[in-house]
Amino acid sequence: MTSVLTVVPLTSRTDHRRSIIIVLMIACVAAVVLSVSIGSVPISPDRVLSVIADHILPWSVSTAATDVEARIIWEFRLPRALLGLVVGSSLGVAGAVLQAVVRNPLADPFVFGISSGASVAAVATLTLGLGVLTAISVPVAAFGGALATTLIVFALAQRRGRVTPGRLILAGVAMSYLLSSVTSYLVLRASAPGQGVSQVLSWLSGSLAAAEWVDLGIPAVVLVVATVVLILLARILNALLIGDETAASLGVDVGRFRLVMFVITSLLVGVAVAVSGAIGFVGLVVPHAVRMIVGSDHKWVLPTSALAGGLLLVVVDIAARLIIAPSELPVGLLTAAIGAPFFLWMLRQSSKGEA
Amino acid sequence: MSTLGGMDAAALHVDDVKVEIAGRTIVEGISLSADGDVVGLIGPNGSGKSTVLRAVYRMLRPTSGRVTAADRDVWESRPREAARVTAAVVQDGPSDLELTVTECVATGRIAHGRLFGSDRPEDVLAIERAMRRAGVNDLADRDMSTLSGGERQRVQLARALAQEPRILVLDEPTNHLDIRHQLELMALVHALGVTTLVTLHDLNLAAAYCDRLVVLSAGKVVASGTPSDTLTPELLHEVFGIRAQGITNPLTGRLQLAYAHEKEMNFS
Repeated sequence: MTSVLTVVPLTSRTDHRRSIIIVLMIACVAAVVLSVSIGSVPISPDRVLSVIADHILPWSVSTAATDVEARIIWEFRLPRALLGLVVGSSLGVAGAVLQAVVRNPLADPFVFGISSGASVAAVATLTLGLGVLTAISVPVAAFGGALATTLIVFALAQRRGRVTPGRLILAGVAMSYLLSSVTSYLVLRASAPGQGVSQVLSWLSGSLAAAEWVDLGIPAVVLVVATVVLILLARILNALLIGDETAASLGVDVGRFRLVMFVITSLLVGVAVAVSGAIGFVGLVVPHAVRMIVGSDHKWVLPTSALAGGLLLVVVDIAARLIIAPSELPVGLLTAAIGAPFFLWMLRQSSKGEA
Repeated sequence: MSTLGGMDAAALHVDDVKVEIAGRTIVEGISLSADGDVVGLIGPNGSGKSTVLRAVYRMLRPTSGRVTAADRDVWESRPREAARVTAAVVQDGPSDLELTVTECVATGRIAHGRLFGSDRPEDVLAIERAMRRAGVNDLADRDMSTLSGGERQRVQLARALAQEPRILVLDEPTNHLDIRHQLELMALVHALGVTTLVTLHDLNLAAAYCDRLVVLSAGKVVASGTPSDTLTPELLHEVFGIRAQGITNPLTGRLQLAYAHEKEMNFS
């Protein structure tokens, strides 16, 4: 990533932006360690670090942690913290891209119903027994559901080639409701006595609780590949901020580029939803806060949103585990509690601008 | 194209172009040429000026006819190839754009840079030179949303110049500018030496800064030629529905129009 970030001409902001990236990286590591050390069995951060080091370094590291502690860290808490990091990053990046391609700061995978589309497809695959290999079929279905929803919402919001913010939000909310009811139906229909309805419901409202190492692979690869590709295309995203006509005159095939961006965001959202359920508003809040700090050049917005999104979700997940300890809240509940008021505030700001 | 000094012009030909939107004909039988000169496209609202431009900068594909730039069919070329020849300043730049001036101008290198990857030295050079030519180099780190209308328009021009175009398309570039900035912008465009196709509402600006004019009415070309040949009282009456007479601007010696509404009486 550094080779992309080093050559930025003519901007005095560059140094300040680079230090923000470094600070966020350190904060992400710290948050992950903190998240792993907190729980019903508290484990000190130095023991956490030594256990992680013991696993990832080729030589063995002496550790004061007991075997039980080592297992708690490596098999339960670390995958969960890392999944929070990956899912939060994916949602942050997806939100930043959506906001650029629809030229609307209110865009968010959750608000637009994209997460609900991914949920429906994932639940359908699980409950209707469509998938054989659920580790593969659920993310693939979630991606398909996310992409289909994105295209439908965007088509509904279009009128004579123009997309108005109001129509976009209404179309997203309507789709969201429709898809949620389909999901509920699927869950109720499938829930013969003895089946884990509460587990599905907890997943639906967004939870990292069931994280295992196998859940991490696909989302992590998708996140890294998508983010690198997007950063390399940052200037075209900047051009879209100016307008479709200008972008076309700059040599961008606007229709095709927008479609590619929808596919990439659906991929990010789909695989995130497949492992963690629909976690809302991270994609809304994070890019907005990031732009206030680093400006709107996507070369900086994208990596900063990835880091800030990951950091936010890990921290919120810590809170979700502490608030009603020893039980825990679904993390999606908390992000909605933070994000929804923020969304309303932004809606007010944007309607002021239109008036 | 040379990377050192100015820009060289290329020929633009619009040949019998027809554009339909949703089955409705917007313009038809449009033919015009420009080669190294500034050609003004004038006509009343709804006469199809912007539509003709959209067919040139690859926003709206013509139903029939051809657009060639530097001897290549614009609509047969790839978008990036076409954008290396033709740049456009259009009216869609939002006033609350959050990019800085440099970031905005840098988008002009999309067609030149490698699709993936960072700026080469010639990209950085082209961005700096374009900003100097449009007189916005002092604004480099300012946010676009903090600029005045005139400054914003000059930044969009710089963005187009960063494309190192040989043909420049401008849609109402003087809109919302005060009179001094209107004159400055048109003088700058005229001095660029790039083939330019520009739509203008202000007939006096068209008369003063365009080498040739093409007059559109109801989607068709009704006249073309030098300003003094085209801006006749008869044509202005017929197309714009006004009384008008060409006079000589006492300050510049160039053609200027004195006009009045059809119903206005002559009190002199």
